[in-house]
Amino acid sequence: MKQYFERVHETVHSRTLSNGLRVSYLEKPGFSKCFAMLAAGFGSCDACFTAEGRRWQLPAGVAHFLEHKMFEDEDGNALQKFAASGASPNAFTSRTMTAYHFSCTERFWENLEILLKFVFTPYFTEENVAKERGIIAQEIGMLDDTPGWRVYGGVYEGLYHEHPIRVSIAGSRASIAEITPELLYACHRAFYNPANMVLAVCGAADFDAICEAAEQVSPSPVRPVRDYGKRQSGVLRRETVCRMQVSQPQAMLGFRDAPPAEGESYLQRQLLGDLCCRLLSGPASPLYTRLFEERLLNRTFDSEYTMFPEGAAAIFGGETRDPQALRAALEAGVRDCAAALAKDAFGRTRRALYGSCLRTFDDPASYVRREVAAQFRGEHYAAFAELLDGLTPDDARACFARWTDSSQSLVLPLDGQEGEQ
Amino acid sequence: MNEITRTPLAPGVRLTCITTQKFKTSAMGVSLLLPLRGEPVFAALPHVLRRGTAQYPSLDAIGGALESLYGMRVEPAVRARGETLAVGLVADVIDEAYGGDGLTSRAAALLLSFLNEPYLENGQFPSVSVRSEAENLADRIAAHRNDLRSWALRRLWELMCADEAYGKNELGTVEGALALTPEDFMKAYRTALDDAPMELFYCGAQLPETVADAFRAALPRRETKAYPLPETQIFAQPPHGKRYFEESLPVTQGKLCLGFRTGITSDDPRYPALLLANAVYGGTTSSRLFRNVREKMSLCYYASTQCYRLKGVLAASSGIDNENAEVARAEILRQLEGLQHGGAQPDELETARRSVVNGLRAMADSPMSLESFWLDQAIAGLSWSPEDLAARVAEATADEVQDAARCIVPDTVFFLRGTAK
Repeated sequence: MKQYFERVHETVHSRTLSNGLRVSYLEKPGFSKCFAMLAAGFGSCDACFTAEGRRWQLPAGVAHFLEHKMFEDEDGNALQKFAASGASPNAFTSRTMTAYHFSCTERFWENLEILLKFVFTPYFTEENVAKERGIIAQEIGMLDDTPGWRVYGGVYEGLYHEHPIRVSIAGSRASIAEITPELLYACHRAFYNPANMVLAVCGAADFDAICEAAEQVSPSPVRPVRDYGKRQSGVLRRETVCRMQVSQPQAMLGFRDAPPAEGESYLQRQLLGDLCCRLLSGPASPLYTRLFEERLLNRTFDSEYTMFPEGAAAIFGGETRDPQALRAALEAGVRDCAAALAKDAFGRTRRALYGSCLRTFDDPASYVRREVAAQFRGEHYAAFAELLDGLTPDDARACFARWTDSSQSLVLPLDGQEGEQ
Repeated sequence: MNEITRTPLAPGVRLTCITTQKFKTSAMGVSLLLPLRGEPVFAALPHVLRRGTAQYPSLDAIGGALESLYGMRVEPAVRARGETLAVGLVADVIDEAYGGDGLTSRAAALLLSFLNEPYLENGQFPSVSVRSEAENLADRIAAHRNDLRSWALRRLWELMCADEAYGKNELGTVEGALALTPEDFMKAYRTALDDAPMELFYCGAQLPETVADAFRAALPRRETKAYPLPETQIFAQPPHGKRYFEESLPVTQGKLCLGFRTGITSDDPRYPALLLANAVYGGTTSSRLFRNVREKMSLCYYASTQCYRLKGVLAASSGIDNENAEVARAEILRQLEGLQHGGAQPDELETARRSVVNGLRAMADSPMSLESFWLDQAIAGLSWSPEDLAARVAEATADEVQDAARCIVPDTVFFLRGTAK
């Protein structure tokens, strides 16, 4: 299918192949670089599932461990194969997906072959799994020393009584010790199946040829059934304090939101969440100005709206002199926005968000990441402008009203300050 | 293909203009080039300027103006490059095709107004802004320690280049920042505006003449005189011989940094060969350090090298368990000696070459990478493009690469020991 998106002047090609793989392609004339991403709908949240007649409860960090291990093939490491044909490869694991990608300025087809081959060819042995544990243990050590990572994880831990989002993507030294080749093979069979995956390409390539290459992947009959546990209303903890050495306190505040309703566009909900974050505390909001002037926040302050299985959340935070005062100001701001929104601020903020989304198309890596997320829901990111136009001040007020129901915060005090664990 | 023009606009003011139709946003920048002395006043200056203009005197008013320009972004930039400090602002705004005619010149005028028409009270920067930005700067300096990977590298340069300007922290010290007064800012502002070479940058769809006119109309008046570029001291050999330093912090992971002198800067004919030697040694995921220190020995999550082209130095850095510090240090040096004695293998060299060339060509797709590249060129007084450099990298021979590797001379080792359990 070929769709033209008028507001962004872009044409997107897409097709679901006979093996079930969804393929999306955005042509970028004039770009030197071609960017491709192959993603599996398997993230840290998919920790409990039933497949091939067996129920699995995974230790923390399996999706991420699998990401590391996929690069190794019987005939060598895919990183080195990519490098030999001039590509820059990388991969990431999020709460909902594992994605492998490369960019290159030449030999695109060779690189696409490497990508399709290594992601669908598992090769795990006791030895190579043990070796990877050493590397990942160092990665975990590095993350443990990163304040931003700790607060981010801590917010989700406090938001829910029970939800796999509470569990760290990388796991811990103890949890990765439980990972075996058998477990990795089972996860690969369950989730790395073309019907649970998306391939997206942005650059100068040929759509039919991309599809032809991807058609070579064999279909799989395995369909995992995921279980995300039970939801309870209310947050687990209003406040979590953890200690580590930081130059000044960092506070992160999370507001729980309901998952999209049946039939609601995920992309539109994402845009609504982004719009509300910007309305509340974007750089042009009165609240941001006031808090900046009072030095309750600085340029490290940021916000994001995220969606995950059976939930969504808006997260705000950064360095602050007074985490409690920042929290109180944000909570009051949410209540005020739920009560009334200035119409001109809404229009101006929506226009600014349009500019910010449009900017994504100049960066193939971030465009493809957003397109892949949209494709898992059967949508195209390029539809953002029309969906944004469809949002009203009432939608925003309703969104803020959902946030007022529950909030939670995490505070990191300075080393040596008192705090509860 | 991008068209590049470099035009003098006024005494000591030059515009680099990259004309291309392929982006939806235009990127702009203005930088004043000062000698690096570790003076906090220059590091805070763009932040103070960003607080208000004669037309938009408050953060609120600026925020509103930027949102109306489709979320135009204007960010203070303080960058140490070699022994030059570049202070200024970088900005981006959506293209006129999406935001209407005249958007570029409005954006250019707004950007330069931060520099040219700052908001003043009785001829001075408002004391509230000064106080607040001095404190923000002090927080930023203290926050360096939160990012341990770059903190360790920063300590390496401070120790290795203690007698050189390169050893200065571009933000200065916390005490220095907190002592700043409105008078200090006015003096620094006059120095920067009256005496420093000014570099302007634009990347987008507008014609160079249109851009030049837009900037020219908003430029400050400048005296006709010489505006000399700051100079950088280069050493081909360690001026103090080999040295070892160790410090400790209560963190989980140790950080090992090795500093080398190359004496090869970007104006040196051996520079393309050095880029290749760096790529073979530790610059890519198929480098000797990645394959051996990470993949084979499983010692770390990262072990990589980077060369700093304006100073003629190179650094290797790695995050490791404390007890592996000595093994890792020995292996990092052993890999260098192997490269110096045996040279790069033919396939290894070609892989490195593709990686470097791919990186240089991909730069053409990223306006902000181009801005950074051309800023370096301006500081070094050079005018070749990334494409020109890619062509020279394509021609460098194995012998030249081995000769360049032999110029990598160990200077200082810095180990940051993690003392947390």
